[in-house]
Amino acid sequence: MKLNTAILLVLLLAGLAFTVTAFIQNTSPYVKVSQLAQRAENVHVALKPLKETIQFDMRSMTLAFEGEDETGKVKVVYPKGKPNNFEMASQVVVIGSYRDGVFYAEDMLVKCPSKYQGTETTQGR
Amino acid sequence: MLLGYLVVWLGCAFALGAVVAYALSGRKPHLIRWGRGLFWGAFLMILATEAVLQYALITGRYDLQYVFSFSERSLHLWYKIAGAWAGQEGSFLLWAIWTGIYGLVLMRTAGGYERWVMTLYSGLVLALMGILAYQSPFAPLPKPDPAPAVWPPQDGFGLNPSLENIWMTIHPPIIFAGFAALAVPFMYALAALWRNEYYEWAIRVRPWAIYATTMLGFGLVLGGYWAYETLGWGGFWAWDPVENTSYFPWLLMAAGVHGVMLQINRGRMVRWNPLLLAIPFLLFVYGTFLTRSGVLAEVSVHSFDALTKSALGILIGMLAGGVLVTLGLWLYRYRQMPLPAPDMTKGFSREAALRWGIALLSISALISLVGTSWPLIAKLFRGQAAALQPEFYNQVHIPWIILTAIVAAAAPMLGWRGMTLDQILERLTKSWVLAVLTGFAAFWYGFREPLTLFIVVLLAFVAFANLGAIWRRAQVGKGKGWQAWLRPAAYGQALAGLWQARYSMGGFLTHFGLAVGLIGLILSYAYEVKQQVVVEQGRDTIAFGYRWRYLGMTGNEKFPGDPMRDKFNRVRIEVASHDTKFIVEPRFYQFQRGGEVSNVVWPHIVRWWDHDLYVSFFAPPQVSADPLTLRLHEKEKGKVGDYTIEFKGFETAGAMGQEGFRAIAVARVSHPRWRESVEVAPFRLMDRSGIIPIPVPLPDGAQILVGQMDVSRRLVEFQLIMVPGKPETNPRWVIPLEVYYKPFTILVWLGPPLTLLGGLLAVVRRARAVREGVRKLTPEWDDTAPSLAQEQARVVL
Repeated sequence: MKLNTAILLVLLLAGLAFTVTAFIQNTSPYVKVSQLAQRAENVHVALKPLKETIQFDMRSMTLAFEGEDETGKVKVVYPKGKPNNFEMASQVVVIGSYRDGVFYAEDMLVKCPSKYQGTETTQGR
Repeated sequence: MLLGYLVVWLGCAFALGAVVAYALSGRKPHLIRWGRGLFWGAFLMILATEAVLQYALITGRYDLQYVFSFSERSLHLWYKIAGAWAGQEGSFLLWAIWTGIYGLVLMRTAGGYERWVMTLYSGLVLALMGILAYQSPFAPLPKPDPAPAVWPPQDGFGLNPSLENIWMTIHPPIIFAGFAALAVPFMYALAALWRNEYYEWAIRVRPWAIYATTMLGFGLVLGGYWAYETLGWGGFWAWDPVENTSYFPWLLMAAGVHGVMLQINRGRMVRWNPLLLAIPFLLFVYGTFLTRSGVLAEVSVHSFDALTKSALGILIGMLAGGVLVTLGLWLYRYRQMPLPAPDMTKGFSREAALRWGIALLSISALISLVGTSWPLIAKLFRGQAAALQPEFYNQVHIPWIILTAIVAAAAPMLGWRGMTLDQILERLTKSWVLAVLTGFAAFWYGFREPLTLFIVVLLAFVAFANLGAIWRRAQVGKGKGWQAWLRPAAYGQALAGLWQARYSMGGFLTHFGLAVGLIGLILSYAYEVKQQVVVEQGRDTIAFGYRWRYLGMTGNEKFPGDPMRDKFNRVRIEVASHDTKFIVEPRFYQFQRGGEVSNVVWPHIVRWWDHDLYVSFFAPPQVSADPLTLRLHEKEKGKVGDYTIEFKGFETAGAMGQEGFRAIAVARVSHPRWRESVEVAPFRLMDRSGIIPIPVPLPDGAQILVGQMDVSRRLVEFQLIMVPGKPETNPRWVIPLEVYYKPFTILVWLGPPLTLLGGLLAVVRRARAVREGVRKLTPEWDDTAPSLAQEQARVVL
């Protein structure tokens, strides 16, 4: 084997190893509320927001609410304002991490009952 | 629309006829003219379909589902036209149009390959027209039950406002020009395997492969510009499934271009090229399936509509059939294929660099493919959907960009036959020194994170190495010292040299532009500063070294008090520092459809040569709910905002401490804009849950309520709540801005146009070389001869 082939092969393997690590780190599974104790970092949770628990602070644009799925309830804090249609959302998907009884959402997808046609929408960005 | 259905079905018939005529033309050569004619017929039917659709859109046939969904009366003509590709059916039609245009070019240029390529290619046209027949843009709007009074509807649903901008008219036609072009190399690859001929096809496919890569790449870039300019999340690329499905075919087609290059110049990769050039098209069909079938709906923010079963069936048939035929044919032919020329390189050669480049591009494509499919894979094998965070793609591209940059920088300097390390170092010194100097400049500017800096230096190395290659080809300043540049004539000569060498610099220009664009992309992402800046009416905010002051919303003129209902509503913010002052006007518009509120954001971008200030929103503007408060003793008068309140006295109703007990504070309120003052009696009501304040409306819509009261000291706190949509109450707006500082985005705009230019130059050069190349392959070359020698010749153009 020639020297340059050997060097590049080593680099290639290192790159592959890196890719696999990054892949594992960045996979964000969908979990249920009851599973949050086992898998807390970087997860998707689909929740039904409980209307009467919704709180919103305008100064800090922080939204807090409790959401539930069939396995339990969890308190969610979301620092990026109140998304459109949040009040009428039947389900939201929160993406983030769970610490000390609170789910800190970095992103939120609002699923609405009606569907809207379009090739691209800005929802959730 | 009967006419619409008619032309689509006629198109199907013509395409089917073309397939049959071309397929039989081997036995009966005169049929080839029938094939051409029928293909023309199919093409004209595609155009007619588009014309009928345009007619329906422009004249407003809102009884058609498609027109109803994507158009409305008030839409500008331009967007009515663009509505033709706003939806599923229309984008298939766009794909069909480009496919038809390429087919006409292919028919004239395929020479001896025409019969085989056009048989397969007409089959593609047939499949696309078939999809349009089942997923028709002319389907009538289903009549709801009970039927409304006015039927058919007089106005449409309208285009999604976030699509209503100039990019909508540019980006889709260009990206579909790229998508459709992927089919040509695919058909050539299949035809080559069918004919068992592996040299001529490479020469013929080369300009097409370069063209497809160029157009698809440019389409991707335009998509990025669109996102940056209008979507308001401060980036060019988000690794969304829709973006990825055009990204991995592009990477693989780029690999294919280099594979063909290796074959024509060195006789290598002969056996792999058919596969490499066929797969991008299959990947694109797979991507279309992923994004159009609804399988990703759960994990993507884009909304996808599922195709109808029949149309999806055709798509799956295309995919499965394509994969089976390609792989099967390739495996079947593998042993019959000629062996590649022996590797005669020594040390480091351009050939080795190209091989590594192909490998790296393919690996990158594979990673993105697996990443995009991951939700589907996870669901199939683990029963639980899992999404891959976009950050994954940013991370994994680091090692691949480093490796690819090294290869791409070295390639233009390397000779085909190989060089020793010393020779290479000697040749690359200049560009390496310049790259390191760029690195120092970047360090001095403040880009100090080691990994980013390293990648930037490598990419600068790529840029300078390719610039050097252009320089040498143009023979700029050859054999002269730096003094030569003191004469003005030298610049004229340099330009003349560049013009002379214009067709031979395509590849280098492409890589130069790519490197420049990537540097911009990486710097603007890695050194982006993002901050949420909440600006409150009447209260300045300090951020990014500027003072931010709310000035107003332009929508107020049309919809006083509810300005966000104006389509062109701009939020005006004054931004000032000690020496500058400017106004930013990001757009914010809310529209309601079917009880669902959607935002349309158009960011405002202030550009300097070295950075952008990108102003967008992280949440809709809100009306401050903080009430105006005023504490008054009995018989006292006070002012809050523009309101004057006089607290006249307490009253009570009901039994103290019992449910239903009311503590009433009677007050007289006046406002300069009211003709007379009013007397109101807000009260606090005792009920099961405690004491709750009951507000009372004022004439202008504002509400007054009693906050706290101290009956013993005869003291009351009045609160005035301002109401959105009631401009008289002077609501205070709170604007949640998201502001980005993005350095060196200018490079993202400078690089890609050069890449496009380079790609097109290379297409012209290689298209011209087809005749010459084929003539070299066959001693008695005849443009119309169906049989061609299949000798194992290595062609060096």
